Amino acid sequence: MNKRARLNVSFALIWVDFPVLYYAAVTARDPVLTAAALALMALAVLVALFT
Amino acid sequence: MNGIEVTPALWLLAFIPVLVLLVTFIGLRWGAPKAGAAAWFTALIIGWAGFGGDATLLATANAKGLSLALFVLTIIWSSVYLYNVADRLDAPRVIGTTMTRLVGDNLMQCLLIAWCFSGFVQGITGFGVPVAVTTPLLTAVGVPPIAAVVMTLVGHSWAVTFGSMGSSYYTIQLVTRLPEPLIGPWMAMFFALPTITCGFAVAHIQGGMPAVRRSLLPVLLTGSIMAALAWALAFAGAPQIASVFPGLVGCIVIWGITRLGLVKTEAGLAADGGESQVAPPGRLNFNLAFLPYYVLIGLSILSQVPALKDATRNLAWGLDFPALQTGLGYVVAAEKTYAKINLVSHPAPLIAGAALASFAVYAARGLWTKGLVGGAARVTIKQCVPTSVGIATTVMMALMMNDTGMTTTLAHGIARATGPLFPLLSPYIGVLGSFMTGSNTTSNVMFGALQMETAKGLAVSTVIISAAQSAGGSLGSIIAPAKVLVGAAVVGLSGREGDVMRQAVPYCLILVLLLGIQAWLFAYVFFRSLA
Repeated sequence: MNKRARLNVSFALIWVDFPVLYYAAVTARDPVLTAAALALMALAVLVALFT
Repeated sequence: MNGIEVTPALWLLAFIPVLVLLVTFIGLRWGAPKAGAAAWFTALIIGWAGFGGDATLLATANAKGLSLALFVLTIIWSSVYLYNVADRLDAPRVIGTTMTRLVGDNLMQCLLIAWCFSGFVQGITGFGVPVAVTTPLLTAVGVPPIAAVVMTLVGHSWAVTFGSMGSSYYTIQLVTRLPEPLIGPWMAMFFALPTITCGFAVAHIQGGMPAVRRSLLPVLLTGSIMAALAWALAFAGAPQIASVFPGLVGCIVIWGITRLGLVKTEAGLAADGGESQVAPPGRLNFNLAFLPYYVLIGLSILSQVPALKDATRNLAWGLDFPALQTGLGYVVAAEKTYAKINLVSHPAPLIAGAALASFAVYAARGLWTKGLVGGAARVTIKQCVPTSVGIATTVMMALMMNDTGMTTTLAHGIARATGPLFPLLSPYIGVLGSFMTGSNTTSNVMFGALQMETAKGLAVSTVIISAAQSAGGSLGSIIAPAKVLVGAAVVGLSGREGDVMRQAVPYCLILVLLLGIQAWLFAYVFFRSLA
């Protein structure tokens, strides 16, 4: 995957995870879902780190 | 301090994410997405392990960060798209050519666009719009892209506190509870120095020390007029227009100085325009080329009409966030409609409205070409995706630092360690707030009370220190990654934000140092008895 494709993936993951993060941490206050959403964000940022 | 006992070790720990961002961004020249990602991981780990932020708090901080990023990114995407359409219609070249004819000297063009016009735009809208609007105008008059971004960042920074219709000014006034008739004129007086030094900095970016020497008369004359106007407006109880009006008058004064031939021109260039710089006429005239910006200014003014503001107050989107507490006892206040995007007065709908109105006129004039919309959209996506990842990661990092108490730890450490030198370093706390959040207003919310309490503890004038906080926050806009990325995106410098930052940082540090010296002299020499 080239640099631009990785950035696109990171971009998509960040914004897909945004409502999930909010729902998990603020609306549902579900610790497991929150940890999962945070892990997904870490993955999205990790993809950006390797561009 | 709000549950946290600040120790040197904790302070150093809190500084690491900022250090990582600076080293990767400026030192290693990483692009914004990569540098932001490195700083994000650092803040996440330190926020969790060193400052006691649990998964819920960190996830909430990230969601807040993305709300804030959305606020900024909608401005970037809309302004970059508007510029790309205008570019395909050849509008920047027409604007540049006309500016070259009206104000022939490149130094005066830079002062007019980057210092005065950007201050005028900041006065109306703010939120990165002046950077998005004026940077392409500078490239259109022949300024290299990196210099154009740095010039705009530096040039508009005098206008931020009284800009956005006075939002940052009103915030510091509300936070410190200092009476408006007292803080307003003092704040404006405090800004006289940065108003003038920003002009000299723009001249220096344009042509080094020879340009600074050439700019002595125009900068001193225009800057003094703008500063005096800002003071008079603040004194008269109209601080909300203390950037708009001086910015506009500054444009007129610069144009007048050029027309009267009061400034020594560059060798081989006539005062009223160098023929070699005049490009052949295109399909657009200046007014048509500038139409989106005319409409944007008109809509921005309209959006500030009190009756319209009241009527559309509820047409807004923003998320609510609960109060939370870290393991160290640092309490994060609840937020109602955080980073609210008003569907009428937010810059993005205004830019979109300006674009639609202008496109309709272009279509009616037969200037529309097939594939214009789609082609501009494709270029916009290509330019904005890296910028968006960079902004998202840096803003999420900043919010994790805020909500785990790292940012407050940094500010308290500076305040406690400096003692009698506090007025000198007080503006840097304002810079820190703007650097972290991209907002003078947020910087004032975060650190206004801290500065006030520290000033009281040291028996230093609270008025002067409050002014120093807000002025520092204003100049901090020069190096706020969110604004650097806006400027880089609109002139196609995505991935080279570190180069912009490297050039911008020295100007910011020097301008803020001068501000700090002024604060120290005001506090300990000239106005010791001021409240």
